[in-house]
Amino acid sequence: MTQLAEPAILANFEIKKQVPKRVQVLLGFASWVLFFLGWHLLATNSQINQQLFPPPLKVFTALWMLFAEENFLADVLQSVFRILASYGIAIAIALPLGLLMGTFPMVEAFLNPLVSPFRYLPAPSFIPLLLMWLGTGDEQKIAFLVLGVIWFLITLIMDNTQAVPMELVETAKTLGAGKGSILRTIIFPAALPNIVDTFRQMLAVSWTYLVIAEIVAATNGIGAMMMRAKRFVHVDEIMAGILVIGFLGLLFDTALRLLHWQLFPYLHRSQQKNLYAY
Amino acid sequence: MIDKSSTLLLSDPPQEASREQQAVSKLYISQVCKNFQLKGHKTLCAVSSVSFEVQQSEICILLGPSGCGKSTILRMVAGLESISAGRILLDRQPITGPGRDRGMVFQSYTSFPWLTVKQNVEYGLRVNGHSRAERQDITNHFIDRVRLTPFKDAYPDQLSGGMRQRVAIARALANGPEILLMDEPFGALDPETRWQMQELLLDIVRMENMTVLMVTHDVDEALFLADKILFLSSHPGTVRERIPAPLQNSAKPTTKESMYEIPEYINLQKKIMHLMREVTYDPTS
Ligand SMILES: Nc1ncnc2c1ncn2[C@@H]1O[C@H](COP(=O)(O)OP(=O)(O)OP(=O)(O)O)[C@@H](O)[C@H]1O
Ligand SMILES: [Mg+2]
Repeated sequence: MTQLAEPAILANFEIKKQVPKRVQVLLGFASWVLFFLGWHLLATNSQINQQLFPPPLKVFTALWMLFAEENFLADVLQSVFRILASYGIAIAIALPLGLLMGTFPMVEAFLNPLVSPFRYLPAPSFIPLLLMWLGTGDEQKIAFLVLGVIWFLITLIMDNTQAVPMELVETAKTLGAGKGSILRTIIFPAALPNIVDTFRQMLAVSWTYLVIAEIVAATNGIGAMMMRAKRFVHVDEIMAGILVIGFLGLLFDTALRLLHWQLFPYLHRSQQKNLYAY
Repeated sequence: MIDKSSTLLLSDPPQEASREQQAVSKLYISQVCKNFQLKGHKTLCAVSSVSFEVQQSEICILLGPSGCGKSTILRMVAGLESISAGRILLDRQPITGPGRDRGMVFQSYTSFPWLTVKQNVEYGLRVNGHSRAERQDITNHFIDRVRLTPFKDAYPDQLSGGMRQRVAIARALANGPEILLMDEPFGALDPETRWQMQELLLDIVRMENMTVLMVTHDVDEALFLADKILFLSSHPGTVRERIPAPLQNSAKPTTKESMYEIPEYINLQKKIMHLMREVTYDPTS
Protein backbone atom coordinates (compact mmCIF):
# COMPACT_ATOMS: atom_id res chain seq x y z
CA MET A 1 0.00 0.00 0.00
CA THR A 2 1.28 3.43 -0.84
CA GLN A 3 0.51 6.36 1.40
CA LEU A 4 -0.78 9.34 -0.56
CA ALA A 5 1.05 12.55 0.29
CA GLU A 6 -1.15 15.06 2.12
CA PRO A 7 -1.83 18.13 -0.06
CA ALA A 8 0.14 21.11 1.30
CA ILE A 9 -2.98 23.19 1.98
CA LEU A 10 -4.42 20.54 4.32
CA ALA A 11 -1.32 20.71 6.50
CA ASN A 12 -2.74 23.95 7.95
CA PHE A 13 -5.86 22.22 9.23
CA GLU A 14 -4.83 20.73 12.55
CA ILE A 15 -7.49 19.25 14.77
CA LYS A 16 -8.14 21.54 17.76
CA LYS A 17 -4.88 23.38 17.33
CA GLN A 18 -4.84 27.06 18.31
CA VAL A 19 -4.48 29.46 15.40
CA PRO A 20 -2.21 32.52 15.95
CA LYS A 21 -4.14 35.71 16.81
CA ARG A 22 -2.94 37.50 13.66
CA VAL A 23 -4.16 34.70 11.39
CA GLN A 24 -7.46 34.65 13.29
CA VAL A 25 -8.10 38.34 12.67
CA LEU A 26 -7.08 38.00 9.05
CA LEU A 27 -9.40 35.05 8.46
CA GLY A 28 -12.34 36.78 10.17
CA PHE A 29 -11.77 39.86 8.04
CA ALA A 30 -11.44 37.77 4.88
CA SER A 31 -14.82 36.13 5.44
CA TRP A 32 -16.50 39.56 5.52
CA VAL A 33 -14.67 40.77 2.44
CA LEU A 34 -15.73 37.61 0.59
CA PHE A 35 -19.31 38.06 1.81
CA PHE A 36 -19.57 41.62 0.45
CA LEU A 37 -17.75 40.70 -2.73
CA GLY A 38 -20.12 37.78 -3.35
CA TRP A 39 -23.10 39.98 -2.61
CA HIS A 40 -21.81 42.67 -4.99
CA LEU A 41 -21.15 40.20 -7.80
CA LEU A 42 -24.55 38.58 -7.37
CA ALA A 43 -26.41 41.91 -7.29
CA THR A 44 -24.62 43.36 -10.34
CA ASN A 45 -25.32 40.23 -12.37
CA SER A 46 -27.52 41.17 -15.35
CA GLN A 47 -30.09 38.48 -14.48
CA ILE A 48 -30.88 40.14 -11.14
CA ASN A 49 -33.40 42.92 -10.58
CA GLN A 50 -31.33 45.52 -8.77
CA GLN A 51 -34.37 47.19 -7.26
CA LEU A 52 -35.23 43.98 -5.38
CA PHE A 53 -31.62 43.00 -4.63
CA PRO A 54 -29.40 46.09 -4.47
CA PRO A 55 -25.61 45.79 -4.21
CA PRO A 56 -23.88 46.62 -0.88
CA LEU A 57 -22.74 50.08 -1.97
CA LYS A 58 -26.32 51.12 -2.68
CA VAL A 59 -27.39 49.85 0.76
CA PHE A 60 -24.67 51.84 2.50
CA THR A 61 -25.66 54.95 0.56
CA ALA A 62 -29.27 54.42 1.60
CA LEU A 63 -28.12 54.05 5.21
CA TRP A 64 -26.24 57.33 4.99
CA MET A 65 -29.26 59.09 3.45
CA LEU A 66 -31.55 57.71 6.15
CA PHE A 67 -29.46 59.26 8.90
CA ALA A 68 -28.76 62.47 7.00
CA GLU A 69 -32.21 63.26 5.64
CA GLU A 70 -34.90 61.09 7.22
CA ASN A 71 -33.99 61.54 10.91
CA PHE A 72 -33.41 57.81 11.21
CA LEU A 73 -31.50 58.39 14.46
CA ALA A 74 -34.81 59.12 16.24
CA ASP A 75 -36.13 55.75 15.06
CA VAL A 76 -33.01 53.97 16.24
CA LEU A 77 -33.13 55.65 19.65
CA GLN A 78 -36.81 54.79 19.95
CA SER A 79 -36.02 51.13 19.31
CA VAL A 80 -33.13 51.15 21.77
CA PHE A 81 -35.39 52.75 24.37
CA ARG A 82 -38.00 50.01 23.89
CA ILE A 83 -35.38 47.31 24.26
CA LEU A 84 -33.83 48.81 27.38
CA ALA A 85 -37.14 49.62 29.08
CA SER A 86 -38.63 46.20 28.40
CA TYR A 87 -35.48 44.36 29.37
CA GLY A 88 -35.18 46.36 32.57
CA ILE A 89 -38.75 45.48 33.53
CA ALA A 90 -38.22 41.83 32.62
CA ILE A 91 -35.07 41.62 34.75
CA ALA A 92 -36.69 43.39 37.69
CA ILE A 93 -39.36 40.68 37.77
CA ALA A 94 -37.33 37.65 36.67
CA LEU A 95 -34.26 38.12 38.86
CA PRO A 96 -35.95 37.90 42.27
CA LEU A 97 -38.30 35.16 41.09
CA GLY A 98 -35.52 33.10 39.50
CA LEU A 99 -33.28 33.47 42.54
CA LEU A 100 -36.04 32.44 44.94
CA MET A 101 -37.10 29.50 42.76
CA GLY A 102 -33.51 28.31 42.42
CA THR A 103 -32.84 28.62 46.14
CA PHE A 104 -36.03 27.29 47.68
CA PRO A 105 -37.44 24.10 46.11
CA MET A 106 -40.73 25.03 47.80
CA VAL A 107 -41.00 28.18 45.66
CA GLU A 108 -39.92 26.23 42.58
CA ALA A 109 -42.59 23.60 43.16
CA PHE A 110 -45.20 26.36 43.36
CA LEU A 111 -44.15 28.57 40.45
CA ASN A 112 -42.32 26.38 37.95
CA PRO A 113 -45.39 24.47 36.72
CA LEU A 114 -46.95 27.86 35.97
CA VAL A 115 -43.96 29.64 34.44
CA SER A 116 -42.47 26.79 32.45
CA PRO A 117 -45.38 26.21 30.00
CA PHE A 118 -45.55 29.94 29.22
CA ARG A 119 -42.23 29.60 27.42
CA TYR A 120 -44.00 27.55 24.78
CA LEU A 121 -46.77 30.08 24.12
CA PRO A 122 -45.54 32.14 21.16
CA ALA A 123 -45.29 35.75 22.31
CA PRO A 124 -46.52 37.16 18.95
CA SER A 125 -49.85 35.44 19.51
CA PHE A 126 -50.44 37.90 22.37
CA ILE A 127 -50.14 40.91 20.06
CA PRO A 128 -53.86 41.14 19.20
CA LEU A 129 -54.71 41.05 22.91
CA LEU A 130 -52.10 43.63 23.79
CA LEU A 131 -53.32 45.89 20.99
CA MET A 132 -56.83 45.79 22.44
CA TRP A 133 -55.71 46.28 26.03
CA LEU A 134 -52.90 48.79 25.62
CA GLY A 135 -53.43 50.45 22.22
CA THR A 136 -50.64 50.96 19.73
CA GLY A 137 -48.22 53.05 21.80
CA ASP A 138 -44.98 52.23 23.59
CA GLU A 139 -46.86 50.46 26.40
CA GLN A 140 -48.02 47.78 24.00
CA LYS A 141 -44.58 47.39 22.38
CA ILE A 142 -42.80 47.17 25.73
CA ALA A 143 -45.36 44.77 27.19
CA PHE A 144 -44.90 42.52 24.17
CA LEU A 145 -41.11 42.58 24.48
CA VAL A 146 -41.37 41.77 28.21
CA LEU A 147 -43.66 38.82 27.42
CA GLY A 148 -41.20 37.61 24.81
CA VAL A 149 -38.30 37.09 27.21
CA ILE A 150 -39.53 36.97 30.77
CA TRP A 151 -40.45 33.27 30.94
CA PHE A 152 -37.08 32.25 29.58
CA LEU A 153 -35.31 34.65 31.90
CA ILE A 154 -37.08 33.27 34.96
CA THR A 155 -36.32 29.64 34.19
CA LEU A 156 -32.73 30.30 33.11
CA ILE A 157 -31.98 32.37 36.22
CA MET A 158 -33.50 29.55 38.26
CA ASP A 159 -31.13 27.10 36.54
CA ASN A 160 -28.15 29.40 37.11
CA THR A 161 -29.06 29.61 40.80
CA GLN A 162 -29.49 25.87 41.18
CA ALA A 163 -26.05 25.33 39.66
CA VAL A 164 -24.35 27.02 42.64
CA PRO A 165 -22.23 24.27 44.27
CA MET A 166 -23.83 22.89 47.42
CA GLU A 167 -20.44 22.93 49.20
CA LEU A 168 -20.37 26.73 49.10
CA VAL A 169 -23.77 26.88 50.75
CA GLU A 170 -22.84 24.24 53.31
CA THR A 171 -19.58 26.00 54.11
CA ALA A 172 -21.52 29.18 54.79
CA LYS A 173 -23.95 27.25 57.00
CA THR A 174 -21.13 25.84 59.12
CA LEU A 175 -19.75 29.36 59.45
CA GLY A 176 -23.01 30.37 61.05
CA ALA A 177 -24.69 32.20 58.16
CA GLY A 178 -28.50 32.35 58.22
CA LYS A 179 -30.82 31.85 55.25
CA GLY A 180 -30.95 35.53 54.33
CA SER A 181 -27.18 35.89 54.58
CA ILE A 182 -26.61 32.82 52.44
CA LEU A 183 -28.95 34.09 49.74
CA ARG A 184 -27.36 37.55 49.73
CA THR A 185 -23.70 36.73 50.29
CA ILE A 186 -23.30 33.28 48.69
CA ILE A 187 -26.00 32.26 46.26
CA PHE A 188 -26.41 35.63 44.57
CA PRO A 189 -22.71 36.39 43.99
CA ALA A 190 -22.01 32.77 43.05
CA ALA A 191 -24.81 32.66 40.46
CA LEU A 192 -24.32 36.20 39.13
CA PRO A 193 -21.66 35.46 36.49
CA ASN A 194 -23.92 32.93 34.79
CA ILE A 195 -26.93 35.20 35.23
CA VAL A 196 -25.13 38.02 33.41
CA ASP A 197 -24.38 35.55 30.61
CA THR A 198 -28.06 34.64 30.53
CA PHE A 199 -28.91 38.36 30.22
CA ARG A 200 -26.57 38.64 27.27
CA GLN A 201 -27.97 35.63 25.46
CA MET A 202 -31.62 36.52 26.02
CA LEU A 203 -31.02 40.09 24.85
CA ALA A 204 -30.53 38.64 21.37
CA VAL A 205 -34.07 37.25 21.60
CA SER A 206 -35.35 40.68 22.56
CA TRP A 207 -33.84 42.20 19.41
CA THR A 208 -35.56 39.50 17.36
CA TYR A 209 -38.92 40.37 18.87
CA LEU A 210 -38.31 44.09 18.42
CA VAL A 211 -38.80 43.86 14.67
CA ILE A 212 -42.06 41.98 15.15
CA ALA A 213 -43.22 44.57 17.68
CA GLU A 214 -42.46 47.43 15.31
CA ILE A 215 -43.87 45.84 12.19
CA VAL A 216 -47.36 45.72 13.68
CA ALA A 217 -49.12 49.03 14.17
CA ALA A 218 -46.04 51.17 14.72
CA THR A 219 -45.23 54.67 13.51
CA ASN A 220 -41.66 54.88 14.68
CA GLY A 221 -38.68 52.66 15.39
CA ILE A 222 -36.36 50.71 13.11
CA GLY A 223 -39.02 48.10 12.22
CA ALA A 224 -41.58 50.80 11.36
CA MET A 225 -39.09 52.46 9.02
CA MET A 226 -38.57 49.13 7.29
CA MET A 227 -42.33 48.70 6.82
CA ARG A 228 -42.59 52.21 5.36
CA ALA A 229 -39.73 51.42 2.98
CA LYS A 230 -41.49 48.25 1.90
CA ARG A 231 -44.51 50.21 0.77
CA PHE A 232 -42.30 52.12 -1.69
CA VAL A 233 -40.17 49.06 -2.56
CA HIS A 234 -37.07 50.72 -1.11
CA VAL A 235 -35.25 47.45 -0.63
CA ASP A 236 -31.96 49.24 0.04
CA GLU A 237 -33.53 50.93 3.08
CA ILE A 238 -34.90 47.64 4.38
CA MET A 239 -31.45 46.12 4.11
CA ALA A 240 -29.95 49.15 5.82
CA GLY A 241 -32.41 48.57 8.69
CA ILE A 242 -31.32 44.95 8.98
CA LEU A 243 -27.68 46.04 9.09
CA VAL A 244 -28.41 48.53 11.87
CA ILE A 245 -30.25 45.94 13.97
CA GLY A 246 -27.40 43.48 13.49
CA PHE A 247 -24.88 46.13 14.45
CA LEU A 248 -26.81 47.18 17.57
CA GLY A 249 -27.25 43.56 18.66
CA LEU A 250 -23.54 43.00 18.35
CA LEU A 251 -22.83 46.24 20.22
CA PHE A 252 -25.03 45.24 23.17
CA ASP A 253 -23.56 41.74 23.19
CA THR A 254 -20.02 43.12 23.28
CA ALA A 255 -20.93 45.59 26.00
CA LEU A 256 -22.26 42.80 28.20
CA ARG A 257 -19.20 40.68 27.48
CA LEU A 258 -16.96 43.55 28.59
CA LEU A 259 -19.13 44.01 31.68
CA HIS A 260 -18.62 40.33 32.47
CA TRP A 261 -14.85 40.75 32.30
CA GLN A 262 -15.08 43.87 34.43
CA LEU A 263 -17.32 42.37 37.11
CA PHE A 264 -15.83 38.88 37.30
CA PRO A 265 -12.10 39.12 36.57
CA TYR A 266 -11.54 35.96 38.63
CA LEU A 267 -13.29 33.92 35.93
CA HIS A 268 -11.13 35.23 33.11
CA ARG A 269 -7.59 34.68 34.28
CA SER A 270 -7.52 30.93 34.91
CA GLN A 271 -4.91 30.55 32.17
CA GLN A 272 -2.53 32.74 34.11
CA LYS A 273 0.19 31.22 36.22
CA ASN A 274 -0.42 30.85 39.93
CA LEU A 275 1.25 33.45 42.09
CA TYR A 276 2.98 30.83 44.14
CA ALA A 277 3.03 27.08 44.40
CA TYR A 278 2.52 25.03 47.60
CA MET B 1 -34.91 3.93 64.90
CA ILE B 2 -32.31 2.09 66.91
CA ASP B 3 -31.74 -1.40 65.74
CA LYS B 4 -31.40 -3.32 69.04
CA SER B 5 -29.94 -6.46 67.51
CA SER B 6 -27.06 -4.72 65.81
CA THR B 7 -25.82 -3.17 69.03
CA LEU B 8 -25.13 -6.66 70.32
CA LEU B 9 -22.73 -7.27 67.46
CA LEU B 10 -20.58 -4.30 68.33
CA SER B 11 -17.03 -5.36 69.02
CA ASP B 12 -16.60 -2.64 71.59
CA PRO B 13 -19.91 -1.75 73.23
CA PRO B 14 -20.01 1.72 74.76
CA GLN B 15 -19.73 1.59 78.51
CA GLU B 16 -22.82 2.40 80.50
CA ALA B 17 -20.75 4.71 82.69
CA SER B 18 -21.35 7.24 79.97
CA ARG B 19 -22.61 9.97 82.30
CA GLU B 20 -19.02 10.68 83.29
CA GLN B 21 -17.84 10.40 79.71
CA GLN B 22 -20.45 12.89 78.65
CA ALA B 23 -19.33 15.28 81.31
CA VAL B 24 -15.72 15.38 80.19
CA SER B 25 -15.84 14.70 76.45
CA LYS B 26 -15.70 17.58 74.04
CA LEU B 27 -17.65 15.60 71.48
CA TYR B 28 -19.79 12.70 72.61
CA ILE B 29 -21.33 10.37 70.03
CA SER B 30 -23.57 7.58 71.21
CA GLN B 31 -25.29 4.83 69.22
CA VAL B 32 -25.62 7.03 66.17
CA CYS B 33 -27.31 5.62 63.07
CA LYS B 34 -28.01 7.09 59.68
CA ASN B 35 -30.54 5.66 57.27
CA PHE B 36 -30.85 7.15 53.81
CA GLN B 37 -34.21 6.95 52.08
CA LEU B 38 -33.62 5.50 48.64
CA LYS B 39 -35.94 5.31 45.66
CA GLY B 40 -38.67 2.70 45.84
CA HIS B 41 -39.23 2.79 49.63
CA LYS B 42 -35.84 1.22 50.29
CA THR B 43 -33.59 2.47 53.03
CA LEU B 44 -29.83 2.32 53.15
CA CYS B 45 -28.24 1.97 56.57
CA ALA B 46 -25.05 3.98 56.00
CA VAL B 47 -24.01 4.29 59.65
CA SER B 48 -25.03 1.88 62.37
CA SER B 49 -24.60 2.30 66.12
CA VAL B 50 -21.46 4.35 66.06
CA SER B 51 -20.21 5.51 69.45
CA PHE B 52 -17.04 7.39 70.30
CA GLU B 53 -15.78 10.45 72.12
CA VAL B 54 -13.31 13.15 71.27
CA GLN B 55 -11.58 14.98 74.11
CA GLN B 56 -10.61 18.64 74.25
CA SER B 57 -7.51 19.32 72.09
CA GLU B 58 -7.53 15.80 70.72
CA ILE B 59 -7.08 14.97 67.04
CA CYS B 60 -9.39 12.10 66.20
CA ILE B 61 -9.15 10.52 62.76
CA LEU B 62 -11.81 8.47 61.02
CA LEU B 63 -10.20 5.94 58.72
CA GLY B 64 -11.79 3.23 56.65
CA PRO B 65 -12.66 1.94 53.21
CA SER B 66 -14.65 3.98 50.72
CA GLY B 67 -18.35 4.13 51.47
CA CYS B 68 -18.09 3.16 55.15
CA GLY B 69 -19.89 6.32 56.24
CA LYS B 70 -17.00 8.57 57.29
CA SER B 71 -18.35 11.62 55.53
CA THR B 72 -21.84 10.87 56.79
CA ILE B 73 -20.65 10.83 60.41
CA LEU B 74 -18.80 14.09 59.92
CA ARG B 75 -21.81 15.70 58.25
CA MET B 76 -24.05 14.63 61.12
CA VAL B 77 -21.66 16.26 63.58
CA ALA B 78 -21.64 19.37 61.40
CA GLY B 79 -25.43 19.39 61.45
CA LEU B 80 -25.62 19.13 57.66
CA GLU B 81 -27.29 15.72 57.87
CA SER B 82 -30.01 14.65 60.29
CA ILE B 83 -29.40 11.85 62.78
CA SER B 84 -31.65 8.78 62.34
CA ALA B 85 -30.99 7.50 65.86
CA GLY B 86 -28.63 8.09 68.74
CA ARG B 87 -27.15 11.22 70.21
CA ILE B 88 -24.38 13.64 69.35
CA LEU B 89 -23.38 16.11 72.07
CA LEU B 90 -20.87 18.91 71.75
CA ASP B 91 -19.96 20.33 75.14
CA ARG B 92 -22.95 18.39 76.47
CA GLN B 93 -25.34 20.18 74.11
CA PRO B 94 -27.23 18.15 71.51
CA ILE B 95 -26.60 19.16 67.91
CA THR B 96 -29.66 20.52 66.13
CA GLY B 97 -28.23 21.98 62.93
CA PRO B 98 -25.16 23.64 61.45
CA GLY B 99 -23.54 26.29 63.62
CA ARG B 100 -20.39 28.31 64.01
CA ASP B 101 -19.23 26.15 66.94
CA ARG B 102 -18.30 23.46 64.38
CA GLY B 103 -16.05 24.63 61.55
CA MET B 104 -15.92 22.45 58.46
CA VAL B 105 -13.28 22.01 55.75
CA PHE B 106 -14.29 20.05 52.66
CA GLN B 107 -12.14 18.14 50.20
CA SER B 108 -13.24 20.30 47.28
CA TYR B 109 -12.03 23.89 47.14
CA THR B 110 -14.70 25.98 48.78
CA SER B 111 -13.05 29.39 48.90
CA PHE B 112 -15.55 31.95 47.67
CA PRO B 113 -13.99 32.98 44.34
CA TRP B 114 -15.41 36.51 44.34
CA LEU B 115 -13.74 37.36 47.66
CA THR B 116 -10.07 37.94 48.41
CA VAL B 117 -8.18 35.70 50.84
CA LYS B 118 -8.77 38.27 53.58
CA GLN B 119 -12.49 38.58 52.83
CA ASN B 120 -12.82 34.80 52.75
CA VAL B 121 -11.22 34.39 56.16
CA GLU B 122 -13.33 37.26 57.47
CA TYR B 123 -16.60 35.84 56.15
CA GLY B 124 -17.77 34.03 59.29
CA LEU B 125 -17.03 36.98 61.53
CA ARG B 126 -18.86 39.29 59.15
CA VAL B 127 -22.08 37.28 58.96
CA ASN B 128 -21.98 36.91 62.73
CA GLY B 129 -21.86 40.68 63.18
CA HIS B 130 -18.41 41.24 64.66
CA SER B 131 -17.02 44.76 64.70
CA ARG B 132 -14.57 45.81 62.03
CA ALA B 133 -11.64 46.17 64.43
CA GLU B 134 -12.23 42.74 65.91
CA ARG B 135 -12.49 41.18 62.46
CA GLN B 136 -9.27 42.83 61.38
CA ASP B 137 -7.26 41.43 64.30
CA ILE B 138 -8.61 37.89 64.14
CA THR B 139 -8.36 37.70 60.35
CA ASN B 140 -4.76 38.89 60.31
CA HIS B 141 -3.84 36.44 63.04
CA PHE B 142 -5.16 33.41 61.18
CA ILE B 143 -3.89 34.47 57.77
CA ASP B 144 -0.51 34.71 59.42
CA ARG B 145 -0.96 31.29 61.02
CA VAL B 146 -1.48 29.65 57.63
CA ARG B 147 1.37 31.77 56.22
CA LEU B 148 -0.67 33.59 53.62
CA THR B 149 0.03 37.16 54.72
CA PRO B 150 1.75 38.09 51.42
CA PHE B 151 -1.34 36.87 49.57
CA LYS B 152 -4.11 38.32 51.66
CA ASP B 153 -5.38 40.49 48.82
CA ALA B 154 -5.12 37.76 46.18
CA TYR B 155 -8.18 35.93 44.87
CA PRO B 156 -8.54 32.14 45.25
CA ASP B 157 -8.10 31.50 41.52
CA GLN B 158 -4.59 32.97 41.83
CA LEU B 159 -3.66 30.44 44.51
CA SER B 160 -2.48 26.84 44.38
CA GLY B 161 -4.63 24.01 45.75
CA GLY B 162 -2.68 23.84 48.99
CA MET B 163 -3.04 27.56 49.53
CA ARG B 164 -6.78 27.37 48.93
CA GLN B 165 -7.10 24.68 51.58
CA ARG B 166 -5.11 26.88 53.94
CA VAL B 167 -7.63 29.65 53.28
CA ALA B 168 -10.42 27.20 54.13
CA ILE B 169 -8.67 26.21 57.37
CA ALA B 170 -8.03 29.82 58.37
CA ARG B 171 -11.63 30.71 57.55
CA ALA B 172 -12.94 27.90 59.74
CA LEU B 173 -10.59 28.74 62.64
CA ALA B 174 -11.15 32.51 62.49
CA ASN B 175 -14.77 31.90 63.37
CA GLY B 176 -13.72 30.51 66.76
CA PRO B 177 -15.19 27.00 66.54
CA GLU B 178 -15.13 24.50 69.41
CA ILE B 179 -14.16 21.72 67.02
CA LEU B 180 -12.70 21.58 63.52
CA LEU B 181 -14.27 19.03 61.18
CA MET B 182 -12.31 18.06 58.08
CA ASP B 183 -13.36 15.71 55.31
CA GLU B 184 -10.26 14.58 53.40
CA PRO B 185 -9.00 18.17 53.32
CA PHE B 186 -5.77 17.25 51.54
CA GLY B 187 -7.23 14.55 49.32
CA ALA B 188 -6.87 16.60 46.15
CA LEU B 189 -3.29 17.73 46.77
CA ASP B 190 -0.06 16.32 45.43
CA PRO B 191 2.12 14.30 47.86
CA GLU B 192 4.70 16.97 48.79
CA THR B 193 2.04 19.59 49.37
CA ARG B 194 0.15 17.10 51.52
CA TRP B 195 3.16 16.64 53.73
CA GLN B 196 3.69 20.31 54.23
CA MET B 197 0.00 20.83 54.90
CA GLN B 198 -0.06 18.05 57.50
CA GLU B 199 2.87 19.54 59.38
CA LEU B 200 1.35 22.99 59.17
CA LEU B 201 -2.01 21.72 60.40
CA LEU B 202 -0.46 19.89 63.35
CA ASP B 203 1.39 23.05 64.28
CA ILE B 204 -1.67 25.30 64.08
CA VAL B 205 -3.97 22.92 65.89
CA ARG B 206 -1.48 22.65 68.77
CA MET B 207 -1.02 26.41 68.96
CA GLU B 208 -4.74 27.07 68.96
CA ASN B 209 -5.58 24.16 71.27
CA MET B 210 -8.12 23.00 68.73
CA THR B 211 -10.13 19.78 68.86
CA VAL B 212 -10.21 18.04 65.49
CA LEU B 213 -12.33 15.33 63.92
CA MET B 214 -10.92 14.47 60.53
CA VAL B 215 -11.65 11.95 57.78
CA THR B 216 -8.90 10.55 55.61
CA HIS B 217 -8.08 7.68 53.30
CA ASP B 218 -4.38 8.08 53.81
CA VAL B 219 -2.86 5.78 56.47
CA ASP B 220 0.32 7.87 56.80
CA GLU B 221 -1.69 11.01 57.27
CA ALA B 222 -3.75 9.33 59.97
CA LEU B 223 -0.65 8.07 61.80
CA PHE B 224 1.07 11.42 61.66
CA LEU B 225 -1.83 13.57 62.81
CA ALA B 226 -3.89 11.36 65.10
CA ASP B 227 -4.06 11.15 68.85
CA LYS B 228 -6.69 8.51 68.23
CA ILE B 229 -7.71 6.60 65.13
CA LEU B 230 -11.16 5.11 64.67
CA PHE B 231 -11.11 2.40 62.07
CA LEU B 232 -14.50 1.87 60.44
CA SER B 233 -15.83 -1.02 58.43
CA SER B 234 -18.64 -0.80 55.92
CA HIS B 235 -22.08 -2.25 55.19
CA PRO B 236 -23.21 -0.90 57.53
CA GLY B 237 -20.64 1.60 58.76
CA THR B 238 -19.53 0.78 62.30
CA VAL B 239 -16.45 1.37 64.41
CA ARG B 240 -14.29 -1.67 63.86
CA GLU B 241 -11.32 -0.72 66.00
CA ARG B 242 -10.23 2.14 68.28
CA ILE B 243 -6.52 2.71 67.99
CA PRO B 244 -4.72 5.15 70.28
CA ALA B 245 -1.62 6.68 68.72
CA PRO B 246 1.70 5.38 70.08
CA LEU B 247 2.58 8.87 71.28
CA GLN B 248 0.19 11.56 72.44
CA ASN B 249 0.01 15.34 72.21
CA SER B 250 3.37 17.11 72.55
CA ALA B 251 5.31 13.82 72.54
CA LYS B 252 4.19 13.21 68.97
CA PRO B 253 6.73 13.54 66.18
CA THR B 254 6.45 16.90 64.42
CA THR B 255 7.88 15.87 61.07
CA LYS B 256 7.15 12.89 58.90
CA GLU B 257 10.75 11.71 58.79
CA SER B 258 10.97 11.55 62.57
CA MET B 259 7.75 9.56 62.70
CA TYR B 260 9.25 6.75 60.66
CA GLU B 261 12.15 6.44 63.08
CA ILE B 262 9.79 5.24 65.80
CA PRO B 263 9.17 1.47 65.63
CA GLU B 264 5.69 1.70 67.19
CA TYR B 265 4.54 3.80 64.25
CA ILE B 266 5.89 1.30 61.75
CA ASN B 267 4.12 -1.53 63.54
CA LEU B 268 0.88 0.39 63.70
CA GLN B 269 1.16 1.20 60.02
CA LYS B 270 1.40 -2.52 59.27
CA LYS B 271 -1.54 -3.28 61.51
CA ILE B 272 -3.71 -0.71 59.80
CA MET B 273 -2.68 -1.97 56.38
CA HIS B 274 -3.83 -5.43 57.43
CA LEU B 275 -7.12 -4.04 58.68
CA MET B 276 -7.59 -2.23 55.39
CA ARG B 277 -7.12 -5.44 53.47
CA GLU B 278 -9.56 -7.29 55.72
CA VAL B 279 -12.38 -4.81 55.37
CA THR B 280 -11.93 -4.06 51.70
CA TYR B 281 -14.46 -5.98 49.73
CA ASP B 282 -12.75 -8.38 47.36
CA PRO B 283 -15.04 -9.59 44.56
CA THR B 284 -12.72 -12.49 43.64
CA SER B 285 -12.90 -14.20 47.04
N1 LIG C 1 -27.40 11.64 50.37
C1 LIG C 1 -27.28 10.30 50.29
N2 LIG C 1 -28.32 9.55 49.84
C2 LIG C 1 -28.21 8.21 49.76
N3 LIG C 1 -27.12 7.52 50.11
C3 LIG C 1 -26.05 8.20 50.55
C4 LIG C 1 -26.08 9.63 50.66
N4 LIG C 1 -24.88 10.04 51.13
C5 LIG C 1 -24.14 8.93 51.30
N5 LIG C 1 -24.85 7.82 50.96
C6 LIG C 1 -24.37 6.44 51.06
O1 LIG C 1 -23.95 6.20 52.38
C7 LIG C 1 -22.78 5.41 52.38
C8 LIG C 1 -21.68 6.13 53.13
O2 LIG C 1 -21.31 7.27 52.40
P1 LIG C 1 -20.15 8.24 52.85
O3 LIG C 1 -20.05 9.31 51.84
O4 LIG C 1 -20.38 8.65 54.26
O5 LIG C 1 -18.86 7.28 52.78
P2 LIG C 1 -17.34 7.65 52.98
O6 LIG C 1 -16.83 6.74 54.01
O7 LIG C 1 -17.19 9.10 53.23
O8 LIG C 1 -16.76 7.26 51.58
P3 LIG C 1 -15.52 7.92 50.80
O9 LIG C 1 -14.31 7.41 51.48
O10 LIG C 1 -15.65 7.36 49.42
O11 LIG C 1 -15.67 9.38 50.88
C9 LIG C 1 -22.42 5.13 50.94
O12 LIG C 1 -22.90 3.84 50.62
C10 LIG C 1 -23.17 6.19 50.17
O13 LIG C 1 -23.55 5.70 48.92
MG1 LIG D 1 -16.33 10.73 52.08
